Amino acid sequence: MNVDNGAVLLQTSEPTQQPVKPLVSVKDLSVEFVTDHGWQRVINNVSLEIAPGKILGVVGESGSGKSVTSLAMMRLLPKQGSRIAGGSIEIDGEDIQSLDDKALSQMRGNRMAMIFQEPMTSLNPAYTIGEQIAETVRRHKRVSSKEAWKRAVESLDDVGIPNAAGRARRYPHEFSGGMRQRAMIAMAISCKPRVLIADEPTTALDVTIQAQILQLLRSMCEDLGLAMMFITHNMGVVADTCDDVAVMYAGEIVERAGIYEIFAQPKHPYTEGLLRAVPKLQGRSELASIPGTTPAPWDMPPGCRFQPRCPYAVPECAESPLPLRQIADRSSRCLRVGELDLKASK
Amino acid sequence: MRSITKWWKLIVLKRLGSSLALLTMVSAITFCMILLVPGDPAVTAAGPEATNEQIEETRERLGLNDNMLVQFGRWFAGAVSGELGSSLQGGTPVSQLIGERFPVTLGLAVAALVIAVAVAVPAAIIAAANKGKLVDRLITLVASAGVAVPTFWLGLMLVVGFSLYARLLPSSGYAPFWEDPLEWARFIIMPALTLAAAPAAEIARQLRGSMIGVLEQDYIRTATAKGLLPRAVLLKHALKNAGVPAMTVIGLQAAFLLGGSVIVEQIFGIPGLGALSITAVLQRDIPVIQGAVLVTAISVLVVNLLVDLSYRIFNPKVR
Repeated sequence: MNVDNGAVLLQTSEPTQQPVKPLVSVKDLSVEFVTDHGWQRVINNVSLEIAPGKILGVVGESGSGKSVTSLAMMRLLPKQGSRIAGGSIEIDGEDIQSLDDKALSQMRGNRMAMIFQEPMTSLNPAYTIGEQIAETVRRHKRVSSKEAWKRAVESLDDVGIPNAAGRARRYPHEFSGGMRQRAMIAMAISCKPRVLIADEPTTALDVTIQAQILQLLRSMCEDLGLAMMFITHNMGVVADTCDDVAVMYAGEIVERAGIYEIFAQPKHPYTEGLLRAVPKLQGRSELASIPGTTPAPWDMPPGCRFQPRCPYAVPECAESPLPLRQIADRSSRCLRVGELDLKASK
Repeated sequence: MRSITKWWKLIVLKRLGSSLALLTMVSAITFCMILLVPGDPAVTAAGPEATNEQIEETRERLGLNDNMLVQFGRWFAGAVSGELGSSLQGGTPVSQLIGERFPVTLGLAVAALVIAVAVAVPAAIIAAANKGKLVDRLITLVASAGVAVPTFWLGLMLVVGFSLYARLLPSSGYAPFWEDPLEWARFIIMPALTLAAAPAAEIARQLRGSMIGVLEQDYIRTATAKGLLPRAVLLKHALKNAGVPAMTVIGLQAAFLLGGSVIVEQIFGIPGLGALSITAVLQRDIPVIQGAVLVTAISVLVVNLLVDLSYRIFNPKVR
C-alpha cells in the first residue's frame, strides 16, 4: 500500500450518500524528462482528485512541476524528450494514458479543455477568433458550419465579450490581452467540457482584468458543473478562486487541504513561506521570502526536498524521503507536522 | 470596405511610381552597358560582304552615330508610347519578336514554378513534422544537393536518361501550347524539371525552417489542445503562418526562373526569350536587348506585386 494514495475528495454531499465521483483522478503520476544528466524525474508520485463543480488550486514556485502535471494530464508533453514514468490519469472516466491518438483528440477540447498562460500568443494570428472557436465546435459536434459559428458567437457572449457577433470576425491582434483570454475561455467552454485546466490564466493580465477573469472562471465552473484545475503561483488568486489547494514543491505535492484550512493554518513550512510572501498592508512589515531556490531534478537533497531551505529543519529531515501523510481531511509531507505551529502570517 | 479601397489606391499609386522609376533605370543601365561593350551593330546589320561605305551608311541609317543620350532618348520616347523599334537584323518589329518568344519562356517558367512548389511544399511539411528524424535528414540532403547541382549538368543528365536511354522524351525542340498541349508538355517537362530543381530546393529549405519555427508556437499547442488531429494542425494552423516567408522565397525564385531559363532554353533548344536575348547580345541588336530586358523587368515587378498581395491572405495584420 502506497502511503501517497492519500487523495482527499472534499465531500459536498450528505455523509449518508455515495461520495460524488471525481471527474479528475490522478494517482501516483511520475514524469521524466531528458536532461544533460540523462532521464530525470521532474514529477514524483503526484495524486489529486477534483469533483464536479470544484476548483483545485495547484500552487508552487516556477519549476515546481505544476505546468508539467497539467500538460501530462492533457497528454501535451513533447513526445520526444519526456515520458510518463508511472501512475494513472483518469479524466471523466477515461484512462488518458490508454487512449490512442484519435480517441485522445476526441477528448481534448471536448470533454477536457485547457486555457494557457499567454493569451497574446495562444491564439492563431492567421484566423479570426470566431473561426478558431467554430473550428473546435465543428471538430467535436456534428453541426453545420453555420451552427458552429452561432455557437462560437454564443460562447463569446457567455464570457462577456461585448458585440460578440461583430467581434467574432476580428483577428487576435485586434483584441486586448483580457479580451483574448476571454476568447480563450470561450474556446475552452465552447464544447461544454467536463474538465477544465487553467494554467496561470491571469498571470499575464492587469490586476483589474485579472479579477474579472477569475470571477468568470468561478461562475463558469459553477454554472457548467465542471471540475477545474487552476494552476498559479499566486496565493492571493487561490484565496479568491479555489475550493481546495495542492501545494507543489520540487515535483511533489507537499501539502493538500481545503482553502479555509490552509489559510487558517498551513501544515507545511513551504506553504507557510508562500503565504507569508503575499503582501499585506496591515502592519506593513518586511515581506517574507523563502531563501534559496528549487533544486534541480538531478540534484535533489536527501530526505525532505524542502529541508535545505526550511527554517524548521532538524537532522532527521534529511534521513529518508517523506511520504504525504494524512492528518484528518488534509495531508502534509512534513516530518514535524505534529509539533510545529505554523501560521499564515507573522 | 472603405479601408480596403484606400489601401488599394495607396498600393497602386506607390507601386506605379516606383515601378516606372525602376524600369527607366534598368533600361538606361542596359543601354549604357551595350554601348560600352566592344562590337559594332552596324557591321553585323550590314551583312558579311558589306563594304566600308555600306557599313557607314548603315550606321548612319540606324542612328548609331548620334550621341548616346540622344540614342537612349529616342528609344525611351518610343518605349513610353509603346513603340519598341525594330530589330537591327532583318527589321522585324521588337514587339512582334517578344510577342512570339515571351509566351514560350513564360510557359516554361510557370511549369517550372508549379513543379517546384508541388515538390517543395509537401517535402517541407513532411520534413518539419518529422524534424531530426531520418526522413527529415533525407529531404534536407536532397534539398542541399538541389541547390548545389549546376543547371546545365542536371539538364544533360535528364537528356541522357530520358532521351538517350529510356527514349521517352525528345531531347530538344518545342511545340506551341495552343496547338498541341500534350506535345508541348512532352517538350517542356525536362526543361521545366531542370529549371525547377534549384528553386524547389530553396523553397523547401525556407518553408521547412519557418514551419519548424511555427510548430513551436503557443497557438499550435492550443490547436492540439482543442482536439485537432495532427494533419489539421500542420496543414491549417502551421502552414498558413509559415506561408509569408515561403511566399517571399517563391517570389524571389520566380524572378530567378526568368533568368535561369536562358541557360535551359539553350540546352533544350527552346525558342524563348532567353534564346532571343543571347542572339541579340551576340549581334549587338540594341532594340531587341532593350525590349527583352524591359519585358523581364516588368515580369519581375508583377511577380513582386503578386507576392505582396499574397501577404494579405496569409497575414491578417497586413490588411
